[in-house]
Amino acid sequence: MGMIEFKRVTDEELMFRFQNGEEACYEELVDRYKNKLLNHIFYYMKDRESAEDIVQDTFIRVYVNKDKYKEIAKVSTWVYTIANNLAKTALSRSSKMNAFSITGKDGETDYEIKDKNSSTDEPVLKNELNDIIMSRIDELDEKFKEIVLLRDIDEMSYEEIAALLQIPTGTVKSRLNRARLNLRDALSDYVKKMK
Amino acid sequence: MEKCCKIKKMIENTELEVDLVTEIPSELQTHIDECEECADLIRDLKSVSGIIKNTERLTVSKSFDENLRAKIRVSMHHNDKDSAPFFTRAFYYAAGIAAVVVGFFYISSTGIIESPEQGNAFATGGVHISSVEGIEEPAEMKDSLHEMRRVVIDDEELRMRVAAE
Ligand SMILES: [Zn+2]
Repeated sequence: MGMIEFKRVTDEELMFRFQNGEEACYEELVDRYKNKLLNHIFYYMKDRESAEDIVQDTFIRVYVNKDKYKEIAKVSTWVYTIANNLAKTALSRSSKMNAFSITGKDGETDYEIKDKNSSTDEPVLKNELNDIIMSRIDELDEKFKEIVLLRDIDEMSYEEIAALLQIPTGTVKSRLNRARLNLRDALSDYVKKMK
Repeated sequence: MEKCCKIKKMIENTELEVDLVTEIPSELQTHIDECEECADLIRDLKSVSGIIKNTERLTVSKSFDENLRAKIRVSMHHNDKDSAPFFTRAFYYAAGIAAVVVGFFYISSTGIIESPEQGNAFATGGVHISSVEGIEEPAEMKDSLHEMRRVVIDDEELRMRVAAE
């Protein structure tokens, strides 16, 4: 998928052209977002395969519901919202399943056992540093965590993040500073090494 | 000498609506040029950002595009509401027409239509109406067709609702 001729075409224009029947524009959008979305969703799912499934489902929904996209929204906002919702649904489904299996094994209903971070114990990436960074980001408050992910992992613009989270651009930036300040302590060993 | 926490405080109070990794307001720059702590803090924020940016990134599997195309084909096939019901629709119309013809011959054979002078046709309207209802059978068929389409639309709505969740 993907062609050089689309390099200067905005996401919104690609979407508009796709709505008018240009399938190649859809393929370009998939190319632009597939890896970004995979990394973004992976941070929530902590499982590569499930993350990729969600990315696929996201693009299927983009395809099937292409006429529902209105140009007033950024394509990134629309695509990420779909992906986030799918991830949330999958996570709540799997946490229910985990709770159920724990209950089944022990024969008692101990809801305390269910831990949303249980999967972080397993190494998810080959690189140990990645695991550490990931778990430190994971420990941040939700509102700081998502900003760091969107900016430093997904490389979204401040405006895109603001549109997605429905907060002012200034707030995106102030939260970004705050998130990095928290991570400065959490990652102090690595920050020192960088100097 | 006491440690300076000027910029740290500003960050904690979310006073600064600028990304200190990429842009530093001139009034802060003046302070940073003279304050080692604050300069150190800015360097650390840049390091943190750099560390995160340099983390290993995943890329989709080789079969991603191919799998996606296949899944789209399947979901578009499911979505194709018009093609499958066309035959069903044709079948119902044919059945309806057959019912009209059979009904007409049946009524003809009872002689109700041919002998209005018997007085039953108008006097016993009920009989007549029930015969007409027999003739109207295609309407019933249309209803069930309508019902079927409603179910299909409901299903589509359900699917969209799931998609929108
Ligand atoms: Zn200072």
